[in-house]
Amino acid sequence: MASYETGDVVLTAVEKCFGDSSVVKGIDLTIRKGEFFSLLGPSGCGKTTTLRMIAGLEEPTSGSISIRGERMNGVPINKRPTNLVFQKLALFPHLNVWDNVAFGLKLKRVPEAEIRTRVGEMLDMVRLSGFESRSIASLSGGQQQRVAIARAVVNKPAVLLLDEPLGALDLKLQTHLQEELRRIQRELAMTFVYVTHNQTEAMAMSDRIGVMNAGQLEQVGAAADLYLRPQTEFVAGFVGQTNLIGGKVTAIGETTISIEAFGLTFDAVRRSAVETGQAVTFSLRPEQIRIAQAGGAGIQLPLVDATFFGATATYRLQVPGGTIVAQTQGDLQMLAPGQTVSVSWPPEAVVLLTGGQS
Amino acid sequence: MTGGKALGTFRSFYVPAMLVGPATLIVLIPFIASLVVLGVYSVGFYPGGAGFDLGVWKTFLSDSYSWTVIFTSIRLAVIVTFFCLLIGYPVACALVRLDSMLMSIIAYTVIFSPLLMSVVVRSYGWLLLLSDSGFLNSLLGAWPLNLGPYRLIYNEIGVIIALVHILLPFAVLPLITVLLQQPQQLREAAADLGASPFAIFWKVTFPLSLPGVIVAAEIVFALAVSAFVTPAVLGGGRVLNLSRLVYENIGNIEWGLAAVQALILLIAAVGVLLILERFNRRTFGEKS
Repeated sequence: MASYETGDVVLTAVEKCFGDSSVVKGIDLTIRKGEFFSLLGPSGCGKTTTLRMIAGLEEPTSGSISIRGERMNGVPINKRPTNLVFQKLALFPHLNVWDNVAFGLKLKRVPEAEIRTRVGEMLDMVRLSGFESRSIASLSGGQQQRVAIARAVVNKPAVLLLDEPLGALDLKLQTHLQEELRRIQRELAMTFVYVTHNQTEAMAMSDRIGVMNAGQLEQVGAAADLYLRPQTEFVAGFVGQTNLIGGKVTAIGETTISIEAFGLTFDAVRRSAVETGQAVTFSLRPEQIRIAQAGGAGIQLPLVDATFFGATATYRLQVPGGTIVAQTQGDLQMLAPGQTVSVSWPPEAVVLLTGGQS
Repeated sequence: MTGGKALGTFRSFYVPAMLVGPATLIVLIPFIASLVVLGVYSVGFYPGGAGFDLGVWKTFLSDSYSWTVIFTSIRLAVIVTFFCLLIGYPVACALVRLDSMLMSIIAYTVIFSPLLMSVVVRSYGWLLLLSDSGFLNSLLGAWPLNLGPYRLIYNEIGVIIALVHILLPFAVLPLITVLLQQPQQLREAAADLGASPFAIFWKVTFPLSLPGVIVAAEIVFALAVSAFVTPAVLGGGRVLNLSRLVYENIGNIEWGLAAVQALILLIAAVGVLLILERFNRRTFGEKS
């Protein structure tokens, strides 16, 4: 049995099928106590279903879910130590702000005086004091969002589950509420499980992120881990932009290996076991590529395309049988398409990918 | 740009006016005309009448028998409305939750097919079922119960049973509409906050369906208070409501009295509807 020390939420070989279609295909995941964990993936990857299984809105087809060491399979939603912030908020339109937030406490028969303090404090925390008797319909999108968060958090759940709650808001409000959520999570030291398809959002808030694709958990790690050391093609491509390059191992040194692709040789740090002649795919982040005037260090490649974005500039470089993208800081002296430039990168930038053929 | 403005007025006024115009005229003209006729008749102006005279109003309103009939009409309608809501609400809940297409079709057919049949036929059907030697009494009288026979026709019980059956679809329809509009997520949210299925119903589903309950009550009450055929057939002359009196007085060529009774029926119905509307506004108008 998963213990309290190892994690707040433990998923073991969790699967979910709807009829014939398998939506979640065997997930093993441990979410630590007090961490802000995000499930990140494209729509239809099974992240919301996973969240709903933790909440108790869906039962897993197989596998087990435990929260604080207690097995949750078969425990009805209203008896679970979780609360969910819904994507469409699902605030009660017939109740005012105060009654919405007090809904869970009243059901649990918390004494009237305690309800008054806790709801008051909660509204303070989400900066909605003075809105107690307002109707839900009279609030702005951002205010409704904060009522939804307050209504869930006030119950002090072991785990707060959030299903893309900021998706419908404009960008500025999203950024603001991301900070608010992070602040609330830190103040309460509560375990948050946040579902999103937006990698920037996940990276901005999370302690750790689990990237999901086609019903499977591809990789779990901190934002920097996922970005700098992606393990699969999917993670490399979904978290930030990258060049995915297929090649063949030509030489294995003590600390580095050499990979041949496009007729060029790419050196990489030796991390996993590979054999000479093995076909591999690796990721090379555009901003890790250094570009200099022709004649400098590195290989000489013709420039196909140059786009100036202000803070950054993007260059497409011709390689035999394709192009690779490089990104540099915006420069006053833009390099012109057609000319040849010197291109180089450190061996750490070449990251070998293992799983997930796409 | 006068052309654009003209087109704007055309779109915003003439087009809607043309769309709703015919229906409005068909409903409004006969309604206003008959109201005027009733009003005029009730104060003595009718073929063979003696000219302006408030005597009919005075006589009718000071007669205790009149008040008995008025209260019978309202009491019957209130009881019928109550049972229609009591029976119709669970039915609507069940219909909304049906997953299988086949089950939905069967359920909707069973509940709404009576609407396709004449009220006269259905009323006589109930007469057969409820009579002293009818189906229900035979069933109750048979072994092992050996009960009855009970008097179920030519009294209020029969009228109520038949009216509840006939008017039930009118209660179920608005209830279905309001229940279908309720997002499933609200019930999920309530469950997530710790509500049992019982608490979900009383704290979310039911309060949010109140506008539908009120509409259902309004429709059923209006139809029940003015029902004529069913009380006539199943009451067998022993259950006197206002519409029955109006009918009799027209038969007796008492135009003035019939007009007064018809107007009082209208006032009673409109009065109850206004009270219900008031309640509806107070509950949902101000808050949202």
